[in-house]
Amino acid sequence: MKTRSILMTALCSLMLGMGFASCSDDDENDLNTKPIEPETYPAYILNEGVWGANNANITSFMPNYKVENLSDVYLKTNGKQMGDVANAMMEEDDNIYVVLNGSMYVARLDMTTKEQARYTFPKSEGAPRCIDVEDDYAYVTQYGGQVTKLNIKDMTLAGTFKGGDNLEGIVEKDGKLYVANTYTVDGSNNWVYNKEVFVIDAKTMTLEKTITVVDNPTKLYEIDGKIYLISQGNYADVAGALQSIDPKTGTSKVILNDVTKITEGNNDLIYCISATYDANWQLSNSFFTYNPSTGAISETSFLQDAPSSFSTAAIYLLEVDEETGFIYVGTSDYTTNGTIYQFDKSGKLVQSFDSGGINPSAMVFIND
Amino acid sequence: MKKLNPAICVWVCRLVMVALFPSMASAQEQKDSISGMVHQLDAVTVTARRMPAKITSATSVQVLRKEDLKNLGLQNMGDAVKRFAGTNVRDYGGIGGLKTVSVRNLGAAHTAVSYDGVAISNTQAGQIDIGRFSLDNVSNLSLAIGHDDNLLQSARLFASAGVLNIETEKPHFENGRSTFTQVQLRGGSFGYFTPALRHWQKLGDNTRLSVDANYLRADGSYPFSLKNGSLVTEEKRINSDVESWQGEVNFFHTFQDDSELSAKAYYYKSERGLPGAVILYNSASDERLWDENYFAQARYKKVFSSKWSLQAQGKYNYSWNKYEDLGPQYTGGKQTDTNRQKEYYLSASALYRPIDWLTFSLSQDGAINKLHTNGLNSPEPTRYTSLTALNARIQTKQLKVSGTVVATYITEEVKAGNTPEDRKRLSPTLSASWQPWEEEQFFVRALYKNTFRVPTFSDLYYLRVGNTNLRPEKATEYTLGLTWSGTPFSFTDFVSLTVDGYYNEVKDKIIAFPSTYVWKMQNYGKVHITGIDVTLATAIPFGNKVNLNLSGNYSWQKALDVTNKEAKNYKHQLPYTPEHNGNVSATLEMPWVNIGYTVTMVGKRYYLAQNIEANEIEGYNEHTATLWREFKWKKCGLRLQAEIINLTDAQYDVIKYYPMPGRSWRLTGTFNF
Repeated sequence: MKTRSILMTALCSLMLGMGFASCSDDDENDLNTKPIEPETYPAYILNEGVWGANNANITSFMPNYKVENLSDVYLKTNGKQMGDVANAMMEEDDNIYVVLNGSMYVARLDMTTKEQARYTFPKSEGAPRCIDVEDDYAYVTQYGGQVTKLNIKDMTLAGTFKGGDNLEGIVEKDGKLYVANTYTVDGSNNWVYNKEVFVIDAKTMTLEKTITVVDNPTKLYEIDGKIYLISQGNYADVAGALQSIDPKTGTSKVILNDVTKITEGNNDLIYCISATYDANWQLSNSFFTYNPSTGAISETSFLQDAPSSFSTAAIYLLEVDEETGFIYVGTSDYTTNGTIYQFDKSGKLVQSFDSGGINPSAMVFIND
Repeated sequence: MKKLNPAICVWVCRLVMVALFPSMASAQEQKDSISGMVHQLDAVTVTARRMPAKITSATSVQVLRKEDLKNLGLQNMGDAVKRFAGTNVRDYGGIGGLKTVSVRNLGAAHTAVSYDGVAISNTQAGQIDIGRFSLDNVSNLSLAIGHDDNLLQSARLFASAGVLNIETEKPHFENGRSTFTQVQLRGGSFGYFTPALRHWQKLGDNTRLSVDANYLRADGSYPFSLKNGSLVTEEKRINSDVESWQGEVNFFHTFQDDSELSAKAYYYKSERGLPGAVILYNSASDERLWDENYFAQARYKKVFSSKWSLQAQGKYNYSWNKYEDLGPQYTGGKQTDTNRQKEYYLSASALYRPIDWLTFSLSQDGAINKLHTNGLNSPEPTRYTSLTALNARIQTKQLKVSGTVVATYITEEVKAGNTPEDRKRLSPTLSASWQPWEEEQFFVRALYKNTFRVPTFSDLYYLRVGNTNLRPEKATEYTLGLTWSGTPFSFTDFVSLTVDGYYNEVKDKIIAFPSTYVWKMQNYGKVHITGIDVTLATAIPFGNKVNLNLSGNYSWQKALDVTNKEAKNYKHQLPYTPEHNGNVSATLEMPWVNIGYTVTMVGKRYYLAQNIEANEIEGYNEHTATLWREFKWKKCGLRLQAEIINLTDAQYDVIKYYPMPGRSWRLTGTFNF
């Protein structure tokens, strides 16, 4: 009898187990494509997502309120997912532009994130990376050595520049495009880091000159009329560096080594983050300011009460809302949703919240 | 749910008709069919053949035998291993898709794969792609959690947290024959076609030779539904083709002193597309992989007396692969990675049984592993490994206690870059099986096992990501189980039941750890795994000619990431780990046609580390049905088999955005003479 009861228990367990794998509840019937009122969502976060997971998204929040439970506003607005690995987002003249690296497209969205027009890159071309928009055109860098010029109205092709290897950061200034030519992988599987920024005529899309910079240039910024570049170095004997670029002389000048992120801060300062590694590849971050007028670097952090975790966290986002002065720092562990820390103008922590996606990398602010 | 494709129905009906019609004429020969054979065997043999789990072993050992593999319509090694409770098979979909096995979530690198007694190694990646092994010549597939009860085996198999043991079929000759030849043709959906040839030859009274060869091709271009928000589109998998050649020659000799020598030469070559994850709005897929692998291995076994036995093994293994991706981001529009691994391996084991209830064994392995990769700064590592396993077992009528200590010493040389420190470590195992009542086939078993995996060459040396300061990743297993077999119901031949509860810890887990720009391999992760595995099997005869075999298993598992209390995934279930999963298999053997049916049930999982709704993957049930029939004419035999895989056309992913094929079919004709 004992054995029978054991057997019956086991049989019942097995039968119960059969039910658990039944199909899940209905499939996201709550999706809607109702436009979201712009004034309700005055700040957007771009979460890059992770490669191959199609989980790039845009979430939104109101900076002056307690933030909770951010959800994918792009999905709600458009009824479809944004795609794979969003490399860049920027706002220009009441439009938002997003660059999808894995999904190989660049799109113009309205201020509710409703997609207005899209340009999909041909399969034969390299994946898009960074974007700048000026007047009627968007300029998008691509791996494989190409800058694509698009009419922003309908996102149609208006011109191309071909040159270099894998192109990253881009800024437009006074009719010239400044483009970082980062690295390539040669035929023997070796990484070769370049040392050049291209200056391209935006009208003709032809190369005007090449500026020599520190190895592995990646990000370009235009802050208060000046151009800055971050190079990542070669991960061995050449350190990464923040540099300034003089458009007139076509030269670059190292401001400071190991800088990984900058943004235009409050009080005409530039906020900087640098990262260094010890022998065991443990990360150590520093937060400081650079005064572009005097060239002075202040070791004092622009954050008054930064969490202790900031010293070793992967800082993925650094943005300042120039209207409100709020400072935003986003951290990522590349596997779970990022965290956004909101500081007031003086650097005091206001709140922190889940970014609603993985790898929060950019923000745009709607202050109308 | 979609309706069955009419063409498939027609084919199945035709096959059934072909199967039924000759059955009347061959009634006299039915005793030779599988169903006839079963009832000519004594009850004990029947029970042993059908039981999917060994109930007397101190560790959990689950078995699939040749007839199970065939009759259940299992598609490949990964499909077969999914039948074992407590396994986690990562299946990237399609015939050529990577398939790796992890036992109780300890990780694929903690699970050894043994091919005819010799462990297969991959020092570069650590995990073995079990999808490349053909099921056609497998006589016995078993999964031991811990290691099995055999004390005369290599130290490598004692050193692993789990062992998947693939035993190929040895030549056996009936009715005084000295040769046996088998030709098999198999075809199916998505351009799947695989012919196979087998020849067995008797070379004298004590010597046998076998040759197996097969070719496989598939377009792999299967349709799937892609869900994107509120949109659902019908897509086709691209760049999922595969072509492979596989062959092996086995030599078996029994010497006059009854010692045995077996030797194997194996060759495998393949080319396949790597379709990658389905990327929304971008269907480009250009990655390809070429593999070549050959090895020669030999095993010598001698029983000197009732007290002494010896086994010696040797292997030389060469494996090469080339990965290629196209794209303008590479110089010349192409990136090519080539890797070449060589292994020299020797193992000797001695077993000593001084008195009936006490057995000792000592196994010593030595291995040299080399890796060459393309690229200017290739470190060209060479690893020297010594593994020593000392075992002791006390066995009485009702109690069996075994203890094992594995001593590991590893040293490495590199031609460029840093050399990791030498590694020395002891790994203990203790297991016990107790039969409380001699008259009842009821056992209580327990296992404690401490193992580790050394960092792979990729972990240590991969360009920019590798870290030579890595420590080994440690795993500890605790298991307590109950096993029972009997005939509690008059209508069953037998019933067997095993229930194992376990708790595992993995610490210093080796993972790629990100920082702002640099990803580095680090000892970072810590995982606690708690679970229950249940297996149940029975056989029910209906008269003399009809037999129903039923088996099933169920696993409950909580595999929690406890690395960092501050992390958002603290105490969250590991990715791709369902809390509930199970299988049910049934074969109905009848004189006119035989039927196999399997259901795989997997509960919801998460594809990323954080257990939030956005990262959830739905559970699924997959059904496979098989019809087969065997015919015999004098010395010739024919087996016809038809399978419908994923009968309900379930759309599911094992790995997110690697969609699995929907309903498909496969037909097999096997002729032997």
